[in-house]
Amino acid sequence: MRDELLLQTVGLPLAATLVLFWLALALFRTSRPSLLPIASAAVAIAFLLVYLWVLGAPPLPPRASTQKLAYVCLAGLIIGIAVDVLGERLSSRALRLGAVVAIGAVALWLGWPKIRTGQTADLLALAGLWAGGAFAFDRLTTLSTDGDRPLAPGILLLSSCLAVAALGFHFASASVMQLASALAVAIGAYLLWNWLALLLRPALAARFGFGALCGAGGALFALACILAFFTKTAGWALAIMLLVFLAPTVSGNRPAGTGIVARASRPALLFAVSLVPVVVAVAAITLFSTSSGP
Amino acid sequence: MHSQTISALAVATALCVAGLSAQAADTFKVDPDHTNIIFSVNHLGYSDMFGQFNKFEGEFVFDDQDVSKSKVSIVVDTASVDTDHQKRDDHLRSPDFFNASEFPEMTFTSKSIEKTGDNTGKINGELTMLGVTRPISLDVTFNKKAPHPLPQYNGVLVAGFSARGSVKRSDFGMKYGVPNLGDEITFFIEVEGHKK
Repeated sequence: MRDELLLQTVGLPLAATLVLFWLALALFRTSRPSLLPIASAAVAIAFLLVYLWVLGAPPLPPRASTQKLAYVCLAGLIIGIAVDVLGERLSSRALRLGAVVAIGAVALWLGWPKIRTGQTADLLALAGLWAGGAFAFDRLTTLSTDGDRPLAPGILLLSSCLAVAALGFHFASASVMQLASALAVAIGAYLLWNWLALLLRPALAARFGFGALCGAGGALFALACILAFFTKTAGWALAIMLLVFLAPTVSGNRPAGTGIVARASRPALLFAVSLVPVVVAVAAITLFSTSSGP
Repeated sequence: MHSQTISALAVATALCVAGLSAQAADTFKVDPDHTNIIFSVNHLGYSDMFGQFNKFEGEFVFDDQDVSKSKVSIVVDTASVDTDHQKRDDHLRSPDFFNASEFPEMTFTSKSIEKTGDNTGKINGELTMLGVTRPISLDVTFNKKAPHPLPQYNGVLVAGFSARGSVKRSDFGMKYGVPNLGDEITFFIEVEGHKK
């Protein structure tokens, strides 16, 4: 059982991300370099493969929020890849507006069984998730076009996944913990490849595209919605997690320099800074809330 | 005189038949104090773990002259799952299993009841769990129908049954942990109902 858990959570997302990323890189690097960001969508595909293994194929239409999660990821992946293909032909303003509407719709869809009861706490959770999701997406979109920090969106999503996994563990949802961990492994595999490539052979790197952003980001947002609506997860713990997305502002472009050490350290520093809110959130829930771990 | 006697007998017979008919199909409200909805599921192949639901309500119509006219409906509060272990119960309420916050109710409604022996039968019905409805058959044993013997119950008519059945939880979308945590959930139901 432990071996199966490791294969599901680490082995499959790691292998699938690396293989799919490499295949996409081989496909687009010389023929269509403008489509290279699509390679990063490997992380979302790897997540879907893990989902299928852990929870099986979801029915259509889905009934439970954990089933809707798979469709949120799939829809995000498809829309994101379409954005990657269309590239600059899309207006940035329209994209952000569409994302805000989509984020609200996803939160509403996932939380509907609770929201329809009209309880204040659930309506507040909806508002918080919508605002938080829109804020996070805005930060990630801004960073994804920042040529100086190509790894930043992935790093922030990785830290967020670790936070959601920790909350899932603490608040009694093993499947949320496992899926968030698997997503963290997939994003980690992408980051490791690209961190090494940017240092050693930049031609083998591909920035974090919208396919990855919307697919993996959508899955992560859906997991956060499940925690907020259907478990005892403290809303303030999820709110602390949002501070992850301020990490690039705090870390800036430190350490300065163009040498290999400075270039290697910058993503590592950003990751360390982005982990601070995660550690704070985990410490706070450990101290101040009742554990009900699986 | 003779015709009056016949008329009186006819009226008396009609009243008796009507009375018997009313007694034959009685509606009972489930008595939660003397009803148990217990389940078991295999734990990693080592043992079968037992749990129960503490909150539920329901009623049944029992026609002992023609059991096919009997009916059962019951609604279970999934958040009331109890395995005598707080952390495990929280986990069972989570989206991994009963997802009690999203699907607070599990319902069973009978569709047909057939007699299989002197005091046994089969209830074919539908179980709705996690928003999914699937057919389920319960083997049922009729135990007793009689006025309650204790004075504080004022002689209320009580009927008692035992039922057994099983479902595959994966059929309802509860797939987490399958097959390490058993796919089959076996129900052990002991019911007493008070005539309404």
